[in-house]
Order: sequence, then C-alpha cells, then structure tokens
Amino acid sequence: MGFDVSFGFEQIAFLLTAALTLAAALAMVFSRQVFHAILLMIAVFVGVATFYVLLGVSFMAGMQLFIYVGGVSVLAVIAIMVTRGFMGSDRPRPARTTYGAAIVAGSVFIGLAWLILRVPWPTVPLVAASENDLALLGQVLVSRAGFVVPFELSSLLLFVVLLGALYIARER
Amino acid sequence: MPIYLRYALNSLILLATPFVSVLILIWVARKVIARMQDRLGPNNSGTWAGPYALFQTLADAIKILTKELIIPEGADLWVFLAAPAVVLGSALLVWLVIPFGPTLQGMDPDIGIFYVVVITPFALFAMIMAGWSSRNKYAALGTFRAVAQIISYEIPQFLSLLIPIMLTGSLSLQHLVLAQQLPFALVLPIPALIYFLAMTAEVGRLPFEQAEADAEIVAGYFTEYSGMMFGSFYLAEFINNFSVSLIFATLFLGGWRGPWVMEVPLLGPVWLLLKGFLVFLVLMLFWGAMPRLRIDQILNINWKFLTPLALVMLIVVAWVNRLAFDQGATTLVARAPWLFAANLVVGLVTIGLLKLSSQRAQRRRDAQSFELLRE
Repeated sequence: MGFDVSFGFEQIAFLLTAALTLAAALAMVFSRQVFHAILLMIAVFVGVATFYVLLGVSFMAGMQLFIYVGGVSVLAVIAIMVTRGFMGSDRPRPARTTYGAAIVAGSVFIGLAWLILRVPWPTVPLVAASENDLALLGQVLVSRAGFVVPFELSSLLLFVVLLGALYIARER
Repeated sequence: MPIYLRYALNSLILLATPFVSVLILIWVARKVIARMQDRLGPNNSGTWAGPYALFQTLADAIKILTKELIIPEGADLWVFLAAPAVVLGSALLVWLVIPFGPTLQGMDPDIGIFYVVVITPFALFAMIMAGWSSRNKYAALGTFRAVAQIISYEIPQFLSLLIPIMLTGSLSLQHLVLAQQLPFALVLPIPALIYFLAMTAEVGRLPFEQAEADAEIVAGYFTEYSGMMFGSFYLAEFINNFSVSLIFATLFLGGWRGPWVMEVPLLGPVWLLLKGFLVFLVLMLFWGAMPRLRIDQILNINWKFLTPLALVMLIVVAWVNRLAFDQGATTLVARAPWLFAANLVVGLVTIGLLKLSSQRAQRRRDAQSFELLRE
C-alpha cells in the first residue's frame, strides 16, 4: 500500500513538473522581453533540476542549478546590464530570424527524439547503485582507469578559453 | 503517526523556526547597535512594548501589515510582485539542511553543503528581479553593485569551503560536524576568516553594504517596495544573516558539538544556536562599527587578496594534510598542529607581503607628491 502511494506521488510530481517546465519553456520562447525570457529560462532550469531530484541524482540537480542558474543566467543578466539599457524598455525581437531558428530547433528536436526512441536502452542498471554514489563518481573522475585524461583535458580547455577571453578583452 | 502528517509537522516547525528567531534577533540587533551608538534603542518608555521592548518587533510586524502596498507606475507588475516571494523562499530553503543535532535535521542530502551553495544565486536573482522591475535609478544601481559583489565573493567563499570538505572527505553537513573533533576554526583560522568575510559580503552587511548603501542610493534594490513587501525583504535579510551564521558555526565552530551533547541530545540545538548567535553578534558589531567600503575597494579586496589567499590555502592545506598523514598523523587532532602551523606561516607571509606592498604604495605616493611639488 505504502509503495502504491509513493508511486502515485512520483507520477503526479513528474507530470506537474513536466507541465510547468514545458509551459515555462514555451513562455520563454514567446516572451517579448529579454529579461522575462531569462527569468523563465531559470524556471526551466529549475524544472530540469527537479527531474534530476525525482530520478534520485541530487548531485546532477545541484550541478544543473550551480552551472546554469548560478553561472549562465547570471552571465546573461550581466550581458543585458552592460549592453542594453537595463531600465529602458525593450524593443520587440527581430522577426527575420524566427523561422530559421524554428527550423533548426525543430530538426534538432526531431533528431534527438528519433535517437532516443531508436537506442536500445538497458533495462537493468549497468553498475549497482552503491551507498555513496558521489564518492564513486569522484574516484572514477580522477582514477587512471577512469576518466582522468578527459577530466583534466576539459579543465585545460577551460583554462585556454579563459586566456582567450582575457586576450580578446584586454585593453590595447 | 502517519508519515505524511509527520512531514507536514516537521515542515511547519522548520518554517516557524527562522521567523521566530528573527523576531528576537531583530530586537537584539537594534539593541546592540543602539548601545554602540550610545542610544537606548527600542524601549518601553512610550507605548507598552513589553519589558525591554521585547515585543517591539512583533508590533512593527503587525503595523507593517496594515501599510499600503504601493506599486510604481512603470513597474513590471509580475516580476515586481514575485521578487519578495523569491527572496523569502530562498532565505528559508537553506534551513532545510542545517543540522541542529545528531538526528535533528530537516534533511541530509548527499550533496549537503553543495545544496547551500546552489541556493545562493536565487537570492541574487530576487535582487535582480526587484531592481529591474522597479524601473528606478537607485534600484538599478543597487542591483549592479549587488551582482558585481555577490558573484565575486562567491569565489573565495567556495574555495575556503573546499578546505573543510577536503579534510572531512564528505559534502554532508552531518559528516562535516562529526569530523570536527576540534572546531575547524582552530585548525584552519585563515580559511575561516576568508569564509567569514565572504559570507559578510554575501549577505551585504557592513563593511560590504554596497547593494543597500542607505546613505547613497536610498535602499538599493528594494527602494520602491512598501508595506509587507518591504517587510519580506527585511525579514529575508535577517533570516539570511542568521542562517549564514549558523552555516558558519556548522562548518568552522563544530556545529551542534559541545560538552555533554552525547549524554543529552537536546543540548545539540542549544550549542548550535549559541554559536550561531555569537557569529550573528559579530556581524551586528561590524554593522555598528564599520565604515562602508567603496565598490572598487570591495572588488579589489576580493580579487587581489581573498581569492589568491584562498587558492594558496587550498594548495597548502592539501599538501600539509597529506604530509602529516604520511608521517603517521591519521586523526584530525594529530594533524591539527601541522595544519595550524601551516596557517600561521601563510598568515605571517601574507602580512609581510601586505606590509611590503603598502610601503611600495606609500613610496609611489611620496614620489608623486614630490613630482607635483617640483612642477
């Protein structure tokens, strides 16, 4: 009985989150003001993080919020602050690129959906869930048998990006 | 008791605790600052507000509920109305993971302290929402300052946060408390100090009070708010002050650990609240005593001093910790002298470097004034 109740709760939570996330995503696409679009984008990110929580991977949820809300969205706000008038009214978006963007987004969506439907997903977990997944993840990321080379290379890539940004932005 | 009823009850208690404690803490803050400024502060001379005006905050809260909510004409209605809710919500979310006792905690997720880190940007976004939607010059200025300050100070804060995590080997707040056979503030005074400064900047208390700066830009990002909407910003500010104090107490002062806590588990929350209250008191003393730094000074301190120092500390502590471990010091207590000595050395070197650079700056100033004289 108790299992049934929790199962129902998870279903309801998933459907509610999905509906809210989709609504926020649509509202973001159709919103006329860039600032509203950013706020709605944060709502979408929070919705995706909620999916991760529902799936039981709280670390992914934390990372999602940390990178996308704490990083990307703040950066977008700063971009608005330093470029357009932060207080001025926004102009409506240029309509010229709308159809092209819709075609690109639609084809990416269809491609991904086709891929997801086509791949034979494993029905049993590949690795048994341990007591502390986080420690396992950390060990895999820095062990020689695991992913230490891609992990360190990605940090090197970020460092190069940082240097490139500094080079472009420096005063001459 | 059915499990859902228990969840509901626990949530209610968790929600009520910050509000009740803040009603008392606002009174404490006003009294402390009044005493520092040679005033009496809230007192029962006028209308009766209880002994020592203890119920002054409650009276203020009831009064503020009756005030008119003014919405500026150019304001963006929905964002303007949502901002107070977001700021209060993000202030309350942190309380979910504060460990009040060995078993007394809303929830102990495996990401633990990372959850606290993740919640931080939401308060920032509430500020941005308030500042943007008000369509007010001062609100926009406050928002600019808040964004620049908070995203800068996140970096030394997280870097100094990594050090206790590294020594514990876990993100869980409960494990962080259990690992502190000695409070981390005694073992790692410099990271504790960096964390304290960064946290003061995060909640925008003096000397880092640039987002509000009531002498310059009215009230910063919430200039246009009135009535209970202002009230929720004010409440959220104090709730944030207290919750960061509690987090600091948990991370660096041993959390619920204290004498006799193993025999009497009820002492856990008492110790934590006492430690948190002490940290909060220091924040209030800063408020009463410190001048307000300029925004460029604030950012300079962060990028040129706190962030490099935090990075150096991270490397040094990692290295010394490993060295001590290899020498046979397997417990934290055994490694404490090593780590403390490392902190001492880094601290002395830092003070020396600061002295040198201040001498050089002084010489440059002297040379400049000499040039001016010659002209």
